[in-house]
Amino acid sequence: MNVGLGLAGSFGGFVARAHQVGDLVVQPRMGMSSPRAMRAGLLATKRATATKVGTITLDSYTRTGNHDRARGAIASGVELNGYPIVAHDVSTTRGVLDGVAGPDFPVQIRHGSPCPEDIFGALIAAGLHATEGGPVSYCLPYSRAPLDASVRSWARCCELLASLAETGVEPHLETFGGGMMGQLCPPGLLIAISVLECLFFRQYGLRSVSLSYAQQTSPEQDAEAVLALRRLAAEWLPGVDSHVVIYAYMGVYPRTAGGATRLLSDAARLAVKTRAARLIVKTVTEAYRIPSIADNVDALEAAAAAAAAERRAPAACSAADTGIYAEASALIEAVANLRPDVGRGLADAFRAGYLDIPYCPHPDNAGRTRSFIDISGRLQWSAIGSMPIRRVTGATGSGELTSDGLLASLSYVERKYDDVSPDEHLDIAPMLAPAVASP
Amino acid sequence: MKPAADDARLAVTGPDPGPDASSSRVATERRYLMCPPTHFDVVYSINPWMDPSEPVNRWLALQQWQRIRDAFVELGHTVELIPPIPGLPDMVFSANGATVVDGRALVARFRYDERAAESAAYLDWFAAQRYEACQAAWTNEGEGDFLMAGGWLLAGTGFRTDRRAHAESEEFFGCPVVGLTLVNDEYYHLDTALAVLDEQTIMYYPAAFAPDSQEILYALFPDAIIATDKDARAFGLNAVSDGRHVVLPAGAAGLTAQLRERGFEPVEVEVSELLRAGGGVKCCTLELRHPAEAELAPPAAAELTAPAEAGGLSVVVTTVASDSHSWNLVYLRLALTELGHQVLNLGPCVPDELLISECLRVRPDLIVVSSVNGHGFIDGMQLISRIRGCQELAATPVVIGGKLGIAGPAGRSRRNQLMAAGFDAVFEDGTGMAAFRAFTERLTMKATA
Repeated sequence: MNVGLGLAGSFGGFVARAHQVGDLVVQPRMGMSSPRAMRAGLLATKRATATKVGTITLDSYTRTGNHDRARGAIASGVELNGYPIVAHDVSTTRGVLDGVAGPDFPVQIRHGSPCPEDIFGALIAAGLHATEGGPVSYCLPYSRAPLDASVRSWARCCELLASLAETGVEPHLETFGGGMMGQLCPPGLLIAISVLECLFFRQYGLRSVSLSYAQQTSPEQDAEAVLALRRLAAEWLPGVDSHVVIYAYMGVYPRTAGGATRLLSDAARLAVKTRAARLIVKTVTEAYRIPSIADNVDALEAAAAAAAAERRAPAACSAADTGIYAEASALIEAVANLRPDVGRGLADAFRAGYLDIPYCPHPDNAGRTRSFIDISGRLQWSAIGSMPIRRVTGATGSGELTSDGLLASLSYVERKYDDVSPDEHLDIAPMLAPAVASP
Repeated sequence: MKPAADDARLAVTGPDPGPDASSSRVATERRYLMCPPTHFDVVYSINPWMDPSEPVNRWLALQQWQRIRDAFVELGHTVELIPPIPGLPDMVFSANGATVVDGRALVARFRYDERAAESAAYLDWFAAQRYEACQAAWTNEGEGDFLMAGGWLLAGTGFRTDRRAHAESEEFFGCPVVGLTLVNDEYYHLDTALAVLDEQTIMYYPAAFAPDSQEILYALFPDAIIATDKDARAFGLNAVSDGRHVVLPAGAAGLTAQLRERGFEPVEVEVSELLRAGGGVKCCTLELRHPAEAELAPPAAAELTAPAEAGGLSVVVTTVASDSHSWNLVYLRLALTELGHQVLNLGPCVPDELLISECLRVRPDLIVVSSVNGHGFIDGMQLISRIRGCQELAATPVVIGGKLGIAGPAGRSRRNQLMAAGFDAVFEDGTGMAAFRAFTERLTMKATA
């Protein structure tokens, strides 16, 4: 993984060293609007009993570029759902990080912005060099920005971030491609977008990246997907420092503490089993509210403990090949063959429906694909639209879920981990299978 | 009683309000009730500003009070006087005597025995002036804790006015009350921490309020002028505005600069002696609001547009500008379509302007705002005021639901704020779809009736 880059003091280097000694790096999603609380959150993360990195998650106003509203909220004493890094001045953010962030505790900025120039500017000014997102993954599911505009913006931001390498520290960028829509996106498309966005990052000069994959509905399918992602990264990103990051389930979260903990433990097991290097946790309060600092620390330590237990007694990783690798390869090749320029290739691919995110209402998404959870709990396509994966998936219908079926699918994981009685499972099960029309 | 006005020169600061803001603010003529500080003294301590061990300079207090009164008169307002009563040293603070809206006065019931006898004087005065007046049943310190802004009655509690007086006032005046909790005893009355400048604009000191009240204020008045610690200490928020001129205690440099920047004309007056009893300009001034000369006929309720199809509504599904979630919207579109409605899903991060232009284009029978990022309350409050401010959408049913605050469901108070702001229904997380379905059914029946 270490390919001779100047990784000392960098986010990628920290993760690589931990990975070499067999430690899973855990990371929270934490973000508070007050600098004092944010610093306390970082310090608490740093003190957690785990191999960890820090996070500053930004608020919704900053993500959408509405910095005036963020400033107004700060001045009015209103708490936001994250840290407004642009609204706070640089010295404030440096004060938050001072003596906390460093080579032993890299801090990453997490946001969700399709056009993040201001955010990149602010994080660089504050002395940081790791963040995440991507021109597709932070545009289609989360905004109304045109994909073209997001691609142009991310190109500029990648160049800006990449230029930090001249200062002696290797900047790091993680794709959010493995988290598209959070749930109900079949794994082949998730890992294809992860790889494609990292190709985009590399084109604009980044040499240390991470590929993401969000835990879905089936542990076996997830394991197959992560192994496929690692194989694709090796094939498509030679010469780049890269690692795989797992996101603990991003959909409707279990409401019971037991259910939430089991789901997080499964995510940690998945990471260890598939030799992923990093895990982004969720907390037991996820279903109800923005988690507190203590919630986050508990989640980090629970995940680290589950990972350690998995390492001591590894279960056999039996991931039969059901075609995820082939599906993702077909998608990546289709986009790579469209244009030599990855950004324009991505925009064209969505225009042509070669990439098409199920249920995503963005105007630049074709919106002709659909998915469902099959009887074994795996995510499957029920409609592939124009995606070039027919030879992998075979025939599918054009089935649209009913609203009850959609709700049942969205809450499948919650019900499974909250241990809803088997009878209720039976009641809902018929709705999981979409009506399949003959092709 | 006719105090001389000749010696008082107004300290009108800043004749030049700046190039672009000069003519935008409009003063409206006001009627105020004041009480001369003839018996002013500090003989007890019912707030941290009062120190009975230091003798007061009553002559200086009278000079300062006179300047306030003269300022109002010079600005063209009417000042009526209520006779001071010996033994009631705080009666100079007439704002605490009552709240008067549309010619109806709800007279104070004071928190401390020392001031209790003032109520009878106010009841007598209002009766003599033929106001409909009655005394509040719950502890209620008049305009000290109740301020009118944009159709809302902002109501303070925490140190003086009882929370139950908020409901009583809502009932008495028939206008929505926004409850605000004060947490710093130096700012013991709402009018020491917040001033209403015009129907849309206030200035306030956030740190005087509890966090949930800060959130409400920000939601209602995102463009408010924010006072610094120093401004608040100078009592700069104890101010009276006629919509253009703002008479305020001298020494609040931050506020006067901001006021000028925003096109207001600050009129600074010295209140050092009155402040020794914890009072400033506003404390000395009770606004007497009379019914408008000609009652405007209420706008005719816009007719619902013809349903999309027999029995179906045309529905716009959207979220607030800062919210990037879409599953809630995808689900609502499906669920509403299955119920026979035509749905336009605007997707995540919909700017207010876009939502309004889309609604003006399709003229929906129902607008459904769903938000789960925790900013739904503050963004929703701004959104609904913009929707309701648009004449064509003033009567369009608009509902909001989801996870509306960052700390989980907040119960009735947030719901009431949203309803009072103009939403027709609020479905917070946990309410479930049944209530929403029932709402759309009622609307469908109304539309097809």
